[in-house]
Amino acid sequence: MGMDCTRIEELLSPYLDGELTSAEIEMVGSHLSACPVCRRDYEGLLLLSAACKQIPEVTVPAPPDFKNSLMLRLSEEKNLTPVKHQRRFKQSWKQVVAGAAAALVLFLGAVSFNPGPTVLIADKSPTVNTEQTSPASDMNIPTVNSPSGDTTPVVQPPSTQVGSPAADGKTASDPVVVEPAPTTLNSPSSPVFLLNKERTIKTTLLKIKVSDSAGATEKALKIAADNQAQTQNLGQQVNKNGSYTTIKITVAKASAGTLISKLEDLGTIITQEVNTKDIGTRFAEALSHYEVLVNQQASVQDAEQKDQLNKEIQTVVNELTTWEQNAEQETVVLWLEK
Amino acid sequence: MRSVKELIDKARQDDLSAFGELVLIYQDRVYSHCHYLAGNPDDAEDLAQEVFVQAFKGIRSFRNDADFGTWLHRIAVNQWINFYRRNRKVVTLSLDEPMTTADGEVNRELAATEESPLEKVERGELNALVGTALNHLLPEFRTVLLLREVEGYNYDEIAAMLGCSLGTVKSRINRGRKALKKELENQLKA
Repeated sequence: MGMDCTRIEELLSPYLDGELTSAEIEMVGSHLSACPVCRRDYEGLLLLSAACKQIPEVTVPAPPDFKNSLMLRLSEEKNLTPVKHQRRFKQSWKQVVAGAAAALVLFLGAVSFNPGPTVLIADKSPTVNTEQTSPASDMNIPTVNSPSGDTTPVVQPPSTQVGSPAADGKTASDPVVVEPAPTTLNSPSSPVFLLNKERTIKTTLLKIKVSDSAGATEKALKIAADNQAQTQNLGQQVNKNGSYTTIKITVAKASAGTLISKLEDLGTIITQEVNTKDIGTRFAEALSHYEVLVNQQASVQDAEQKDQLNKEIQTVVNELTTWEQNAEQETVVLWLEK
Repeated sequence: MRSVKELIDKARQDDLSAFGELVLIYQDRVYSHCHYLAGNPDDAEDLAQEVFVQAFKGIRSFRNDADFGTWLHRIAVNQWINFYRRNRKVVTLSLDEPMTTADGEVNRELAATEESPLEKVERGELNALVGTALNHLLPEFRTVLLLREVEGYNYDEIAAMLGCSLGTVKSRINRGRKALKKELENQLKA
């Protein structure tokens, strides 16, 4: 192997890959036609290259439990992050409030921003609903396992053992959904979810101009209390130009109409917007996910896996219950401005 | 049975069960791909799972006119490269640098073997052995060879993917091929 061959040898690989300049290609080409040693090296490289390209032809089937463990992981991740359209919905409300805040800033204009003394709303701690979810009497329908059936489909979660509050990181204020350790599938304490029920989340933004901000706030809280609604102070600002108070009121659907009409009397309505979101599809999806988990849970033998699935099921049940509760309620965002 | 397109549309709307059907359709293809990329079943499964997780998260960015299998394939390569880049600190011994010894500067790579029995081997046998031989190579070599030979990327693309220079890619492919040849010869001798 002469000096030339040593140099050529370094170029054979990029030559094969078409990564040389035209001058180099010419040089290698003419050397190969004259040198049998380098030609054999090159042919060896071609052979190897061709063999490498055959690698993807071999199909290796995925492990048998591949899909199941993947779906489990995906549903876990899905439970951790809010569902996309639900998130969009929430954002749209944030945007409404942010937009209002921005308008407020614009309104204040060049005036030095001095929030002044803050008025505190009397009831700052929202009532925590610790009520147990129990199957409503009108849901007392035999279990049908197909969520797509035309008959009234009911899915009844089976017994799910709930860990101690400390163990599974739940706070005492979390609504308890499933009684600990019921043993039968049709345990009366299991929540029952109706699939064909209408499920919408309705939110009303009510902007009202009032003459007395603190007085109006007090009245609003009184109206909310009269209608067994929960209130949450979303923030207020008071300065020499006026005062702005935002209160979130959550009320049972049946009382929403009365509540809103009472609130409308607080002053002059600036705007009233209604946002309705149908969560029926999401609900149905979560239910079918729930069914998958229950089936898996029934088929696994491993105690640890079973435990993991139980936790999963509990998460989905909690989610469903929250939705169920939200769908039973309406939210009013009350904006009082002076 | 719904079409792939319908399933993708459903999956875009967060329909996990539709995505599950897509997984069933593509899992063997993706797993096979991950199997030769990762080089062992355990990493292959992790990688394949990651591919589908990323696919589900990013399914809204999938263009409908593209091929879903090709799209998954690209995700697999990207995930595999990420994995490689995350872990390479452990294995890189500055293989591209010449090593100085008492005899002066020598290349770390062993000298190329003189005679090759490769030409005499049945093509089928060679094809069957090459995957195993690749798995015995240093990750530096294995990675560039897979990207070049199997995935078909050019040197510039590989340099960009691995975050190294063109010269490094060129050198690694060259030496990787020599190492692969040597490995195959060892296997044939055994």
